[in-house]
This record gives sequence, structure tokens and C-alpha cells, in this order.
Amino acid sequence: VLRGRELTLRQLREGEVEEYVRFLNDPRRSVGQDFWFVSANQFQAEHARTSFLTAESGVLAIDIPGQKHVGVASWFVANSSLGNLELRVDFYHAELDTLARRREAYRLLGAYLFQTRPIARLQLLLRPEDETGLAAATSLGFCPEGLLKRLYFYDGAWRDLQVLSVLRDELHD
Amino acid sequence: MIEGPNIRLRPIELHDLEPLALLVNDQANFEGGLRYSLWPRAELIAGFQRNNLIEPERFTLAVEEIETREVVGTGHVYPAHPFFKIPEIGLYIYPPDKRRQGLGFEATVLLGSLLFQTRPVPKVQMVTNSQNTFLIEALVRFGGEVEATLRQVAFHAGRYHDYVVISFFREGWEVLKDREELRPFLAIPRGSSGRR
Repeated sequence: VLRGRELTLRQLREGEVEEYVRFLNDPRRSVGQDFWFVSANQFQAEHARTSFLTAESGVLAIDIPGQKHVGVASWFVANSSLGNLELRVDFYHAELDTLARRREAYRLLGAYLFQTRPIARLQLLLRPEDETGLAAATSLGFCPEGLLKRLYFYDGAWRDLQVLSVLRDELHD
Repeated sequence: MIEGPNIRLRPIELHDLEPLALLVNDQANFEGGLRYSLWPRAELIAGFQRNNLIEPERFTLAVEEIETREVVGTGHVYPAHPFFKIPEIGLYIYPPDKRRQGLGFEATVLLGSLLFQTRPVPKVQMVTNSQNTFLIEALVRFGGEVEATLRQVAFHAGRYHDYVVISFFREGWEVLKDREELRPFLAIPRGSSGRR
């Protein structure tokens, strides 16, 4: 369990997988990726096998005071050729996605991964209009590295994403 | 098969496996800061037997020098990211004496051309070591756009290296097709006349 002041990150429980899948299968969400439906059965089976924690990836539930499982914080290999790790933080409801919470989720996840893996950097891909995410990331030491144009298709158009990274000695509170 | 002035790209064949396993696993072919990691011979053979290293979203092709009919590299296409369908090109020319002759550039352009002709994507991406200035400059002259520099993103040859993301966009590619001198590099996939 990764504990902060604003939120806690912990393993996703079996009974919570359904809500996670429901979030992923809602095409109205605009979280900065191509949309496709995922299989609830496959996700349940994967959770039973790994609890969504493998050597290369992980999905943790986000709890806030008084509310459990309001979103997920995850990491995964972003590029199969380079093997670099990327972070994601998704709140299921936009009104819960505050600067302080997003910042703490990035910080907890980043500190955990730098402590437990011999990696030099972590990256984020954020929508240019995601002011909360950009402010949270840059306040922790993430640096913009470029704009990846027309990377995913959403709401009838190709969309851009900003790539940011933080090196091991740059992450700060 | 895809063919340019100097190379052809084709699915890997059975007789390629042994020489390819030697090429990709010889550390002498990875001097000068190139990323070296063993590709187990058994994995290469198992992948070939399973699906010829060809799937809908990702495939590996042999890069064959036309003049010598020697396999000198491999071209790889795979999703740029697990959450996006934009394709990325990975290109390796293994023998040091075959590098810096434009073969990697030619293979990259041929693969880019193939992808724009066969997939409804607005861009094709590749990543390369930021020290690979020869290839980067050639691709930028050809209309490639450096979109980002990924800091310390890969560890090899004893240290971390920066990589650049270079993208080609469909509209730029369409313009290039009208330039007579570039047409050989934009060859469309051809029939099987040259197949062994």
C-alpha cells in the first residue's frame, strides 16, 4: 500500500475489476488513447492470475478519504522496442480529479518505481488540454520532451499527446 | 516483397534463419553505441515456425541487399504504443561495413511507403538513438519531423542513451510521391516476380 495525504494506492480487489472494466468500456471517457472494448472475462482471469501486478506492469486502485476505488494508477512498458515505463492515473469521475490528488498519485507511483527498479526515467503522455495533469507533473519535476501529433483517434479526429519524463534525480515533492 | 534501388524487404525464409541468428547475436555488429541484446536462436526459430514472424499488427522482414542477395538486416513494424494503433518502424543493418551507405534510410522509406499505402493512419513513427545523426538528417531531409527527444530512455553500451521520435505524416508523403528523383524510394509493393 502506498500512502499519501490525499490518497492511497493499493492492489485492486477481485470485486473491483468489474467497475474498472466498465470504465474502460465507456467510449465517452476521453483519457488519451484509442478506444476499443476490453473483455471482462479476460480481465477477471488476468486479475486472478496476477492481481494486475507483473514484472513490467501494474494497476493499483486509488482510495481517497471516505471513498474507495475512485480510479486507478498504473504503469506499463510504453514502447516494446525501448522497454521504457509509462505512468497513468485515471479517476473515474472528473470532479474527483484534482491537482493535489493527481500530483500525489504521480509522486507515490514514481517514488515506488524508482525505489524498486533500476530505471533512469519514467514518462507520461498527457493531452495538451489536460491542465491538471500537466501542472501536477511539472510541479514534481517532469520535463516536456515534445508533442506527439495525431497519435490517437477520438471523437472523430486524430489527437495529439504531450510526452513528459522525469529522471531519477529530478523527481521531488 | 518491397524493392528499392539497393535492397528488398521480404518475409524471412527458412534458409535465412541460421545466418540471421549469427548476424543478430554477434556483438561485433553492435559497435559505436548500438543497442545490443541477444535474440535467442530458439526464439527466432519458434517465431518463424509459429507465424513466420508475421501478425496483423506486427511483423519482421528480412532486409536483403539486391546486388549480393545477402541478408544484411531486419525491418520491424509494431504498434508505437500499447494504447495506439499508429505503427512504428524499427530497422537494423547489422554488418558494420554495410552501414552509412543509405541502406537503413532506404529500408525505412520503403516500409513507410508500404504502411501509408496499406493502413488508414495519418502518421508513421520511428525511434532512433539521438547519436544516429546520419539517419536522422537523411530522414528529416526526406520530410521526417523530430517530434520529441526521449531522455535516457535506453541502456546499452554501459550508459543511458537519448532517443528521438521521428514521424512522417501522410500529407508530406503524398507530396514526396510527386518528386521524380524520389520515386525509386517510394516503390509500391510488387508482385512475386523476384521471389525465390
